[in-house]
Amino acid sequence: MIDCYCLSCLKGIRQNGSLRQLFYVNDVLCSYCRSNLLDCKYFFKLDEITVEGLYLYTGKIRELLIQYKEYNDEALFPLFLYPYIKYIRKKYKDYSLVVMCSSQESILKRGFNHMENMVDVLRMEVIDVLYKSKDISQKHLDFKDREKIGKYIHLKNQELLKDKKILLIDDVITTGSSIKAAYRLLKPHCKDLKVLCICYSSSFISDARIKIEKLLGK
Amino acid sequence: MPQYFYYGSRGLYCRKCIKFVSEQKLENKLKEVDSEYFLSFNLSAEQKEISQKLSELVAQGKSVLLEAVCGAGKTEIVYETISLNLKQNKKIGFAISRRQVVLEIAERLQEVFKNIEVTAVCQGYTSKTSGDLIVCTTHQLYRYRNYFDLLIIDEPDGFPYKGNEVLQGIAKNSYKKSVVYLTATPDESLMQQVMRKELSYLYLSKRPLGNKLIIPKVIYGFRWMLYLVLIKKINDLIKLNKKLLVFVPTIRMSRGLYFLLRKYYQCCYMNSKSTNKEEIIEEFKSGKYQLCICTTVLERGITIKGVNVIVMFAQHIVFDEASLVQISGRVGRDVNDPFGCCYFLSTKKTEEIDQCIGRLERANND
Repeated sequence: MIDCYCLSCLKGIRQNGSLRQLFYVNDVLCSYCRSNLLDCKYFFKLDEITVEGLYLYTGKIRELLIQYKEYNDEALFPLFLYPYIKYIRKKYKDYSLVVMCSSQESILKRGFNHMENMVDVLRMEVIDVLYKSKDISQKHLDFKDREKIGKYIHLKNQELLKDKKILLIDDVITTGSSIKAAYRLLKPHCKDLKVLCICYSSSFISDARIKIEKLLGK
Repeated sequence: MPQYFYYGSRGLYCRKCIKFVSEQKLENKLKEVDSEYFLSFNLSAEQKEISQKLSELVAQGKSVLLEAVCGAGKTEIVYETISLNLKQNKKIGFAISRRQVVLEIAERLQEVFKNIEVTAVCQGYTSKTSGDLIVCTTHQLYRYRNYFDLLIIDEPDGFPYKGNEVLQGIAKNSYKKSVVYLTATPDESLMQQVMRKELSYLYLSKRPLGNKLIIPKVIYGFRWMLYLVLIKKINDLIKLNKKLLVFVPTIRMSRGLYFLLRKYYQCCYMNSKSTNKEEIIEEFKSGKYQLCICTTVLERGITIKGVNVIVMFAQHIVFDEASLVQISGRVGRDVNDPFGCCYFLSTKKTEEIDQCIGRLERANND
């Protein structure tokens, strides 16, 4: 626990929490804010890669991620992976983490490395092998231009990867071009490679699923 | 408040207002402006008196709370103060909590002050932020830190400004000397400031033509019965060729009622999530639609000529005293046709409805 206040609404965690939370709190958000996040775990395919996604990238989680990345609100770092700590540590027991890189300029601009902070709560080994040579924001690019991004991702210290199982983590997947590039770079050097993303865009899931979620009122 | 602060890699910062950080620098130039203003009508005697008092108080550097009933011409009263301050090369801001009203008021001010540059700053209109007179939403005030000599805040009792610590703090930081609040329904915190003598208080109870405020009629009934009453009232009013606003408490209900009524009447619906709000209002004003079903987005700051109002389920928590007063203030704003009707349909008697009617009656008797 960081402290007893909800990170999103800044009220006391027990204030609009559930009955269970009166006695036992194991989260950084109050249960009301947590229920607003669309946390539906989902597996989908990117060409030959199987990706595990945790949240659907709409609504509240999108706001929070933008607040964390664009407005440099550093305090939000534990929120994204907190409910999944046990699950990830158990499923990827002897894996080491590789986080998706951001360019040196954007790290200096923010003042902190957002992916490494986010992954901190998992308490697993992090290997620093990827780096980006050029700073480009992907926001305003169309589909074709995004595919070129793969050119700017490079590999360093390859010997660190030898005979290791690797879990590659990214924050948001919209087209998947950067994840594909990183996957192709890492694959030949390591023993096993799996991919996890925190948010995935709704284009990866079928329409039927979205309709069901709307009906359920999520 | 310890939970608002966090010690990050760049030191301590406030998490609550982190979204309002401005990096651009503002020009601080002085230039001569022609501050004359042109009105197409004359102010009444009471309005003139109040507007003189206001400009005197502001010249002394005091902050003022101006309470006036709906339709009393609060904006017109401020014109003289604005023009006097513009003459002395002071910077003036006009802040409103709603985006639609910003665009409407900026247009009105530009018509009156023909020789100066009026800039509207709100969501979607942020490329230009400097001008002689700045009209903006209360959210955009973060761009002007310690910038204004005089700040006018219209309707500080409306959502989202009311009870929002961040917006109030930003507003406090944006002016140097004095602030003027314009409202029809001051809330408790403002009245407490008056009691502590931090604010001077001015009150105007008459509309400029002397016509009285319209007092709403309350109709009580069961839930399903209110729908029948609503349909009857709509039929009655549409026979007389009048426009009609139907206020409902929730977004969902506005959509539902629209799908119920659209086959029988030419109607539109509007809530905070509809994307083309300006278009809908203009089409409604021009007479394309007979009735408009809306949530409280339309409750304040908008003038539609010859409109009648029905409030569905007035007992709902969304409709507090201030918003009920504002809603009934939409009626009878036309100079040629100062009459109209306003109905509250409610399932039970509530304090808010009683207080609203009491306030309107008091203003009429003064």
